[in-house]
Amino acid sequence: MSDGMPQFVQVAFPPVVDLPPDPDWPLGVYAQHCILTRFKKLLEQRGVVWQNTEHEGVHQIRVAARRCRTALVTFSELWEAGEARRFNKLLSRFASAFGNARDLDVMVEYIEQRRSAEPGEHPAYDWLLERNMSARDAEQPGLEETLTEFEDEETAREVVDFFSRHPYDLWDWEAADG
Amino acid sequence: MAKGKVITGLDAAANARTGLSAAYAVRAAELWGWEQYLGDPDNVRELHDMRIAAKRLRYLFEFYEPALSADFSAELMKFKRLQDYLGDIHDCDVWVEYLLEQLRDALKEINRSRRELSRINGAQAVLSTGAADLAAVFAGGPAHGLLMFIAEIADRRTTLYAEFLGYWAELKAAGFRDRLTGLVDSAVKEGSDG
Repeated sequence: MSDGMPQFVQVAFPPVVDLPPDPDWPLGVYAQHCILTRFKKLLEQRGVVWQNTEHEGVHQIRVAARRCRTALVTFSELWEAGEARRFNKLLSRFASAFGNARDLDVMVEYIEQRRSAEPGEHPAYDWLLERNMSARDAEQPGLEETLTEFEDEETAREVVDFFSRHPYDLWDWEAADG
Repeated sequence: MAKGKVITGLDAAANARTGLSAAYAVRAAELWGWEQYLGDPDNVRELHDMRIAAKRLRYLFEFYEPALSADFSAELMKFKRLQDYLGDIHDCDVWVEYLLEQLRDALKEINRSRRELSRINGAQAVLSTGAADLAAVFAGGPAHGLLMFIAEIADRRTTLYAEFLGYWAELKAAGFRDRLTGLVDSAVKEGSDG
């Protein structure tokens, strides 16, 4: 475990989130399910990003945030306009904090592949690798700060609370009701 | 980046498939709305917007995967290929911009040494040493490799763009959009029949 990694808050999701989505559910429930399942995946990546031992965490947390936002925008009419906008902005800010790190991860990976595929001296690859790796290291404290703020502001709980209860209260809703 | 339009007419209590129908109509129109810009490979921003529009539509298909028939997966493969082209072309655009920035930094050091050489009066011996040193820095430094890399990425982009246009024409000739629309309509209808 990385130094200083917070105890990430574990939020309870309504049981319906663990069911496969049924397109014959009410649209409200389906939309909530879409958002909550993607958000759950996002939360699962917090520790991976913090530990920074594999590039995949940053990629997955961004993909999950993007899917969440796409679901939010697609079904935005189902919520108060202000609420949908607020959560969209929140997720957008969160995801954009990982953008540079992801770009650098992709570049490092690509250059490393090329360098190993092309034997001999390649000053350009060495130059790019050195610069990208040090730029990526410099990004990591910012990622950790973003995750810490996310915890401090209890964003996870706020998102799950809201989308578990609007437009349907999923804690009271059972698939058979649909 | 062009924002996705708000999907209107949604009803939380209606069958979830109604959301597919409403959102598909809007997102497909957004994607195909960029077609008019495909004639000019310099339309980098529009191509980027087209890529984002394709991504929105693809996510919509993902959200509604349980509603879409097995026939849809063959069309989805074609859609993914389309997205791959758009993604790879975009990557080339991003790479070139990034590499040009790196080249500027790499040349800074060489320019500094070049300016020092310019300060030498006449063809003195010290100029010979300085020029030879600079040549060694140039030969062993990243600038040459970066330039070759930039040329390679630009060539790759040209090839990808031509392939993408060919693929787009192929899909169009095969009635790809109509086929997607038909499959989405069937998925929606299946719900109302059931």
